[in-house]
Amino acid sequence: MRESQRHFLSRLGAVRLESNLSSLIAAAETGESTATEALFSALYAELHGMAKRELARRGGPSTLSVTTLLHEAYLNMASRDDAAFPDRARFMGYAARVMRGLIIDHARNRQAQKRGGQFEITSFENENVGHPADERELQRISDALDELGKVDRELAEFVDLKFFCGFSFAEIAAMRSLSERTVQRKWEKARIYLHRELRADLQL
Amino acid sequence: MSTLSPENWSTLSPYLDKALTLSQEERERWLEALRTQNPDLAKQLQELLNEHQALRQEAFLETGPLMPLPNAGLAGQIIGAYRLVSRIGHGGMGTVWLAERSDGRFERKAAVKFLSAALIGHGGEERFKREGAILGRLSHPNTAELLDAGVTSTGQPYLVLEYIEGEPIDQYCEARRLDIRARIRLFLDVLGAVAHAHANLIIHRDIKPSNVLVSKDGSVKLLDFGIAKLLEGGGEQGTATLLTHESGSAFTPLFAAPEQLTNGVVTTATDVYELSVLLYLLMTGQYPVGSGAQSAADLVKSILEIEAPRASSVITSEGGMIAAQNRGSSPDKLQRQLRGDLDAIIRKGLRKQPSQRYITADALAEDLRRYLAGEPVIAQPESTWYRTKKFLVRRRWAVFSVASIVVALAAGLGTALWQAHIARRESRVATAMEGFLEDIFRANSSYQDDPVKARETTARQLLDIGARKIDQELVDVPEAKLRILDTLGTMYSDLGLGDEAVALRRKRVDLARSRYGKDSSEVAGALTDLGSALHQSSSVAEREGVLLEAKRTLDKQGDYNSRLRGALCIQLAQHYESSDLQKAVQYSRQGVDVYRKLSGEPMLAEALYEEALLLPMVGQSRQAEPLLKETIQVSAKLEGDPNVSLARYYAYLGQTQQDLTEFAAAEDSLR
Repeated sequence: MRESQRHFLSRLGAVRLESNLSSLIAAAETGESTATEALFSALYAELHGMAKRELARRGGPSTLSVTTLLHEAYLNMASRDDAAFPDRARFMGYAARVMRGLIIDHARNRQAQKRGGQFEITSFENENVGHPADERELQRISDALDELGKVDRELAEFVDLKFFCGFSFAEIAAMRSLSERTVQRKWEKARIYLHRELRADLQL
Repeated sequence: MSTLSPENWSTLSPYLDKALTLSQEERERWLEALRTQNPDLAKQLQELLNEHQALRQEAFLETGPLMPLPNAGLAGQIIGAYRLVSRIGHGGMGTVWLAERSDGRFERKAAVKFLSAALIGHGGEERFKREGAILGRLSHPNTAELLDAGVTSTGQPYLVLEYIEGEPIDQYCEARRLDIRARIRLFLDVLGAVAHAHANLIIHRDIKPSNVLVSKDGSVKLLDFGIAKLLEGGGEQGTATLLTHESGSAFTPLFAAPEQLTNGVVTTATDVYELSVLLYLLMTGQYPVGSGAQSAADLVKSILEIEAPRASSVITSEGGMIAAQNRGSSPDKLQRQLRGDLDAIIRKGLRKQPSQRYITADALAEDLRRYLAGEPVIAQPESTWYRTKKFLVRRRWAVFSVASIVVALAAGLGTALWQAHIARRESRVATAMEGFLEDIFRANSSYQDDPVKARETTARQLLDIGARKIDQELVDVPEAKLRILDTLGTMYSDLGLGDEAVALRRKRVDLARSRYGKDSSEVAGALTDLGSALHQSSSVAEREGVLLEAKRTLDKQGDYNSRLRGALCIQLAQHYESSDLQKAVQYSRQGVDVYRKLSGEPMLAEALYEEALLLPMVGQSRQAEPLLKETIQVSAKLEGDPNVSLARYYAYLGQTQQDLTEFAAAEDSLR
């Protein structure tokens, strides 16, 4: 994770959500970097808050599907009068990237505190999932993704949605109004890029 | 090997797109051609594609950074009385195992569902077990039984369910090309199972084809009853549960009711909505929100805001060919079959407002049965008034359950809504009644702190909630309050709770007096009803005074020929039966006369019967016989043959004839 990114992720709640997400998104898309930061910390605060509420509601350390969390976040925000999003696809794109940050933060916390962390993000529908989250490995993937985002933002978003958030090809296709085959092809392309990036890293 | 520079990547990217759409063979040829034009590019591409092969082998990035559930490799383990055999599936809720009884006492297959411990949370285990026990008592031939529910020693909650072999109801119907009527008959079995659960205040919340299986012999089994509720922490509901259940596959809450997406109150009407989506699917082969791929946001929007197209309208002559064939019909014919009653029934079930739907599965089933029998359906507004009346009268002899109370209240509401239809000013009344009805539900289902208590609510308790609330409620809508008091009073009487009925009837008289004036026909009606209720109460001594006051009021109004006058005459006849037989007979004759003039009045049968009961007591047994024969004739004509009253009439006719020692005739009637 870039230093600047870590910086804004730590500024929880610095920007209140009422400051109108849609205008933040609009500004972020014109490349305004302070708006991008503000947008991400707003989303981070929202998602983190939701995860905590979920935890409180269930009354114990909780497992929580990331997919569910994002869908809920969207429904929740879309139902507010002040936050009219340009569209759901872009919301998911941003939120998924924020989610990546949350997951890595979480992995880091867990490794540091040996299960003393705040909440756990796990998936109960993907029980065949193998790897326990290794913080350094995840961090490397995340850095490579940031690089990919610079060349092809769409591909990087697909990886966030698929790998970090657990969305299926069908779901991503529906979000982007693309065919499932197109999504799958782009995913393969992204994998090629990342694989090359990470392997080169290892050989250094 | 080096990383890719941005320039490099943007050059290669479109070629990768192309390569990834080609088959292995095509790709070889394509690369070959490229090599002659641009050998350098071809070489780089080849490298990347080789790398692709390798990364696929190592399943690069295929599994996300997520935690596994610790329940692989459970085969052979013993859970309760069952031994796990093999894993048969996993979904949003956890994994499902096929199991068999471990004690070998009898052969029985079961499905064991393991749920994520997190779904019930800490301290939720007790509640989980208690709720499981309640669901376990839900026994119905069309419901897959919940055999056991518990938590393993490692803290994993599980459910043991009857194992059902069958196919989803929609596939079953399509594969066998069942026609519309056969589909409705099958669907009625589903409704029976849901109605049974509703009568026990259990709501399914997740009705969809994969939860409604049909076995080879054609019997329907509903799965996962109340399990959605079981999984909720502390009585909360809504999107979280819904999405959790749908996750694993695409986000397609095709069966979700609007209130499930908005965190609204989930009631029996929620199941009615889901059932109606299923009915729509069975009838048309399509979903009410359409069949095309949609984004989740669009789906949510259609569920919340857009009224579904009428079922008949989605069967077009071009597109409806397959649907029609699978229903043994042609597009034209299928469209005609759906138009009208079925359109209306489905539309009523899919209303966005829960209170505008059928309130229970039972009510939906009643209407479908009427459709099959060719009778007018409630969903068609024209017939509401007549049907509601008949329904309430019929219910007097029916066994009372919670469901029937709910239906009776809803029917009363239907009346108000119908009246609102003809008189705008009445719409306030309808809205007020609707609100009251919802409040009773709310007091009793989701907002009840202890779900166990909520489920065990009896018909009596539900009525008491209504009776308690009515005092403070609807103060500014007396018309609605009068109707609710009437419905509640009738139901107390039907449960044999005379004193409670009298208390409500008295309130109704007072309210009618202040609203319409003491000499109004509304007051006379309320007094007559009070008189009727007093008969079964501890204040029976007041009955004569109350009935005579009703009579004076009608006399003042110059009303000698109304339905109300007839009802009052019968009440008076019944009252004087024990004190003054001559007066009793006189009043029963007046009642008969009044009803005769109102042609087509089913109460004529009751009036004739009353007179026939009295005549032998004044030594006129012989005159009773023709009256009873007329009673039977009128009843059969106006209420249908058979109907619930006919049995009583025939029995008494037989007894009368026996008394007259007309043995031959008596034998005939009693046979």
